[in-house]
Amino acid sequence: MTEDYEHGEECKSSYAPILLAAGVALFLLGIVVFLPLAVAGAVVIGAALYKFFKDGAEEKFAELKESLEEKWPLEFLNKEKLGVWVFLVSEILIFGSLIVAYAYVRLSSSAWPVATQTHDVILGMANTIILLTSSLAMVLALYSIRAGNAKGLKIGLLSAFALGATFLIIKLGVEWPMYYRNGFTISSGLPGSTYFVLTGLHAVHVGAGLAAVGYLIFRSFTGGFTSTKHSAVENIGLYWHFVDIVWMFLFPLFYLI
Amino acid sequence: MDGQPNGYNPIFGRRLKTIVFSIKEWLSTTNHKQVGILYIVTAIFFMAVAGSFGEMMRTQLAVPNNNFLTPFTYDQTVTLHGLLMILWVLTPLGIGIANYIVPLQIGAKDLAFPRMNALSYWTYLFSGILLVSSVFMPGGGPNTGWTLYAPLNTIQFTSQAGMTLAVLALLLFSLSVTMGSINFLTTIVRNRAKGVTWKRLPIFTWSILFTMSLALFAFPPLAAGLLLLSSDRFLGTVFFSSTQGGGILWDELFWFFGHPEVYIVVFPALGVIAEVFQTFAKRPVFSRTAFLVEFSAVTFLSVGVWMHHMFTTGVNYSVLQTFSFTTLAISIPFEGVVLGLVLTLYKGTIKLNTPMLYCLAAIFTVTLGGITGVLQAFPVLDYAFNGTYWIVGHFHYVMAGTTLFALVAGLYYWWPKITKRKYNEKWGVITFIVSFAGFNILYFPYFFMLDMPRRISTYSVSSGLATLNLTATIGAYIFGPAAAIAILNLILSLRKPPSQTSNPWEGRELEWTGDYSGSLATGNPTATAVTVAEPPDKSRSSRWYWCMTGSCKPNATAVDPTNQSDILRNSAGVES
Repeated sequence: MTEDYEHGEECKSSYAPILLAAGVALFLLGIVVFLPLAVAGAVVIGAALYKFFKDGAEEKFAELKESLEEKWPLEFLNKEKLGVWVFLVSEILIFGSLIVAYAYVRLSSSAWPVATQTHDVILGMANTIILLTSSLAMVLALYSIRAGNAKGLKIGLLSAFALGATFLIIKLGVEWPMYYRNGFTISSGLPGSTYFVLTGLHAVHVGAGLAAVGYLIFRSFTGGFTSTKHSAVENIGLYWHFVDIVWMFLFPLFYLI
Repeated sequence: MDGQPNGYNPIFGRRLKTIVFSIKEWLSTTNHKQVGILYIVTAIFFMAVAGSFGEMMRTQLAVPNNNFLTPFTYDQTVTLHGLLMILWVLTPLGIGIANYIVPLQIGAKDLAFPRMNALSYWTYLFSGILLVSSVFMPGGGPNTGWTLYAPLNTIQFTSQAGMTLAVLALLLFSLSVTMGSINFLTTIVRNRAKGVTWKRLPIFTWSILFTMSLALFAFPPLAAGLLLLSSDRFLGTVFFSSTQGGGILWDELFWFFGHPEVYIVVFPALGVIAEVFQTFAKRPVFSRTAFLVEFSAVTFLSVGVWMHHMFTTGVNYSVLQTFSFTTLAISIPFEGVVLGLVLTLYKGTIKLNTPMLYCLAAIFTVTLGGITGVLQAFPVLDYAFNGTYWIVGHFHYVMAGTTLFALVAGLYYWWPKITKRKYNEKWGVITFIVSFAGFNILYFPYFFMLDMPRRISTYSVSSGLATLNLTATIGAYIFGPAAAIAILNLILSLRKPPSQTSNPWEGRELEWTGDYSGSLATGNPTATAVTVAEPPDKSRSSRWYWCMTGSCKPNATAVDPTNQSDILRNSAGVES
């Protein structure tokens, strides 16, 4: 056995990774040094992400056979789903750290305004219900395509998207401007800082989720999913539910106590 | 290249000239071998940068009241040296070796997500470029020390754009490592070839599994801290400048990352030492199961010791007690791991090649660095040592000694695997001896500089530190060039023609023998003959595998593991 194994023979080359990394670096350099650079970076990021999604839609990097693999103890997970779960662990740690930081500064502060003084509980409650419902729509979409119902999939995905977008519109278009008018801003002290940074990061996650659901909608309309082949719906769904669960923590922590 | 739209090429199977001109291929590769090589080359590049910063600092400190560097420049040098060495050199060097070796050891075609692997690499490269370029920003780069303590890191105290850029570079880097950890964990758990059971999983792959689980837990909290810091610097939030959170909040977030990071850096090194000891002593690692249990115990405990970096911040008494206890507790399994490595050599047939020498040096330095470290577990001693060169000596013995020596040993050990060429053994041994001597001349005096504060750019004549500092500087002038020649030795070997032997060390681990039972997973038709004919029994461990492919008895000649018929006969139980 003197021959070396030619590993990765079935690897395909792609410029998307270097483009995406360069775009992000350019964007970061731009926001520090010279804003137009950041715009250029954003354009490069967009192009690279488009390439990623396009390759995904064309299944250029589709799964190879893995029948002869050692899987114990996770026989029931394919590698994409396992990757998503591990990714969610890292997300839990980011949000966990931020929530602990929030708890820490709040408990160290001598005074903290009562939640109802600074936050609109009704709008927060409405957003909670909207986001929960969008998770339900996502689950219905998954169960539809499992049963081979392509129409149900489309309806489910479209409603999940619409509800997610409504969440963002209420949050960014109604709630935040109202708080700013009341003088509760990101730089008005720790209560404002924690609220806007944590819910802001959550809103970014909802935005990323909307982009991913948009991709699913595109693929569902071009006939990309069948009752046996729909792992993207499930994996992006997992992320979508995670974002939903984060809000289940943020809502009581900021609006109720 | 042209005619090969799928971008695959055997990396060193053709002439060097062709490799240099295939830039397109390297820019778009998703192959784990090529990405691994990119990682290694980039880490060595950053090592040269950070190493020259180190030499600059030693030059400044050579004599008292020196003004080779201004205090502000010196502060930037300290910061960049620390950040680059820990995050952009040692961590990625381990990841780079793992990129190349782990899929071979587990018989996977590639990492689970090849494009994400390439993305990890490119974000790592660009984040490093951003960090280094922060020095050239108007107003200079970060000058806070690698810990970026609050409120020094807020805009009131470090208003320069270079500091902001460094924070963003760190954020990008933590993104890169997090993606890497997702990729490696998925690969090791889900992409092993048939027959590579957990029991047979090679030690280096185990060490990478532990490393990546820690990275998954350590880097997101750092990213969270950096997000808060960026929003302080960009959006006007007040997390680290307020009196209600401020410094301690940053300390908690940073050290919750910072202490596991030590193990993220050291674990691949320990994995390399285990592999090298096994091969060069012709013994399986001592008490493999206990070794791995201790290894995982270190992994679990290492997320619960971070506050020993904060003993002097005024945390309350029960916290002192708790973290003093956990720090002592982690030293027990860690000693077990080191002892396991040492006992692997017991009664072995030891060959002293360059990788082996570097690993032995690493065992020496981890012992000294560990003993000088565990003393700080006692708050009363920590109060005395904190912020002195004793600490600097301690962590350089662990970082520059153990980790760097062992990772260089890994490069030497797998160099014939990666390039099909062998380095110059004589020069390897000479540079090892010189660099080890230089290393000790450089860092051993630090243990006597108990009166010298860290991160201060100069000292007075009356302090009595002149001789020790001059000795250390001489050591630095020996260690730096010797390390450079050690790398040069590897690079120059590329001029030689490829060697015919694919297993010069007679290594018995899977990356050398390819003895997987699943041919589909490896994509290797030649692997079928041995393994499908006689798949290894699942109930048998790697220790069994070692003894079957060669004798476990002392001084007995090992069976050539590359010889198929021997393995077949042995695994079929036929006496030879």
